Amino acid sequence: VTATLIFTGVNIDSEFKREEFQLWEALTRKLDPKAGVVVFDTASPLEFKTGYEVVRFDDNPGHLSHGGGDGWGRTFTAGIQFAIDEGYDYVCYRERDCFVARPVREVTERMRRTNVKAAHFFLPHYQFPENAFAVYNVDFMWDIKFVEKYDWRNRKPIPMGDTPAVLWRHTPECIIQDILGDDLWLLPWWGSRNDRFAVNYANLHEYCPYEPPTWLHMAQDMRLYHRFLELNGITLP
Amino acid sequence: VKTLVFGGCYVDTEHKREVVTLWARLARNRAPNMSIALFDSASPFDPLQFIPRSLDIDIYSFPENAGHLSHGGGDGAGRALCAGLEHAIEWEFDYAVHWGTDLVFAKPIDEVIGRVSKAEVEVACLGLSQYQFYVWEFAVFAVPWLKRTNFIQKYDWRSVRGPYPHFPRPSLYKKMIPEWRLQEIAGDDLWMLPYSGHRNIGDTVTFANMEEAFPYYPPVWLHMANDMRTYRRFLELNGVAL
Repeated sequence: VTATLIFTGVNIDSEFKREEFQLWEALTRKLDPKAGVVVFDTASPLEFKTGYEVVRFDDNPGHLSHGGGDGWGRTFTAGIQFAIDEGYDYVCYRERDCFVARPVREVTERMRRTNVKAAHFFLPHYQFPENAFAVYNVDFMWDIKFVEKYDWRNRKPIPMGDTPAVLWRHTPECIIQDILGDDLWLLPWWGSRNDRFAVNYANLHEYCPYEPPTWLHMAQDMRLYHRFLELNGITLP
Repeated sequence: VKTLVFGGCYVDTEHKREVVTLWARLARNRAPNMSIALFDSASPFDPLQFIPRSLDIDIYSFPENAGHLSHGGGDGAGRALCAGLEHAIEWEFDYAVHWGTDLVFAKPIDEVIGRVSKAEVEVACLGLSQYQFYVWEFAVFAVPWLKRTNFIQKYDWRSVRGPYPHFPRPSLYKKMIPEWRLQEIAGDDLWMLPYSGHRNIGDTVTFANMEEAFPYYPPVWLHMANDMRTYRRFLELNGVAL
């Protein structure tokens, strides 16, 4: 039996994020009921309810793109370390605002049939892959010393406006791609990172004319998340 | 590891002749020790005449041009794809790399095969920014997988003919569009290579703006550049001298 850990990070500082996380949890319970799940809380100002195990950090180091520390990287590497320490076979990071319409189990089965150790989503509009959803073979992450190499404490704020070559050295997606090297593969599941507000609940079906998107990141509107679930035929309690 | 690199062509203009010649030179440069084959659909400009013999490319000619689905004809591209895959099976290659002749690709092919074989991936293609389907103009197939899955028979290039009818919903086109059909057959065995590139429909990438369009590093591949200067700029940015 393959043991998979799904983890995410939260910093609940608004009603919207609280609602978003509740939906994330409901979707995770529906699609991956047998997976282990742990939530890393970066000292959220607002309380939130969850049935999952919560690991609470005492502080919020901030976000690299907002001039702060690498709070994201702390959560990311903490989850991977958790999976290593607890003896999981696979570990999946799924960001709180990343919704995926298919179970993580499908990815781990796909990986087991091959020797693929690291899987991310293809990100159409950037030169780096999407890391809001990533699945790794835990032994592999231990072998390559991923947590040590990522070294979140020594990450510096992203110098926005600097040259792309400099940005590459500071952007987590790029750093991760460099660490994973030739072992990184992309899943052929189509979706959107909605950081440019190209997609909304009214145009989602036109944006994805052939079939509903398999994933949606940064919807920034609960109506859009619900439309995503509706198009994928997913009903949640 | 024995690898076949192949592409298909129909050359009816001076520009296409230049593009296919560039492909042949680039393919030999990127795959110096591999077998390379070109499947020609009875082109008015005969590749046997214009591809330099020194490149050691095996050229096979179909007796007629099957046409192109989007122009109301048959699936000529699918025929060339299947011919290459059949050739790889018949001659017992380990991997077959389908490399379209209007696509430039910067990485050494043995590096790609190394990645694929290490991961034991059996079918791989590229991502595409503009569409929901993927790029099969550069795709790697493990030959034993092709045999095991009856891939060629399932694709059945003769089964679809253009032009595409006017379906009421785009989703209905999936059963006709080659990329969707290939994706359907590949199923859960399909993976995507994390190589950044672009299908240049609409000429959004030019020789002048390529560096801005790919700010982090040069594109690994470029399809349908439509301008020789753009292809050359691609090679220049990637440090490939032919």
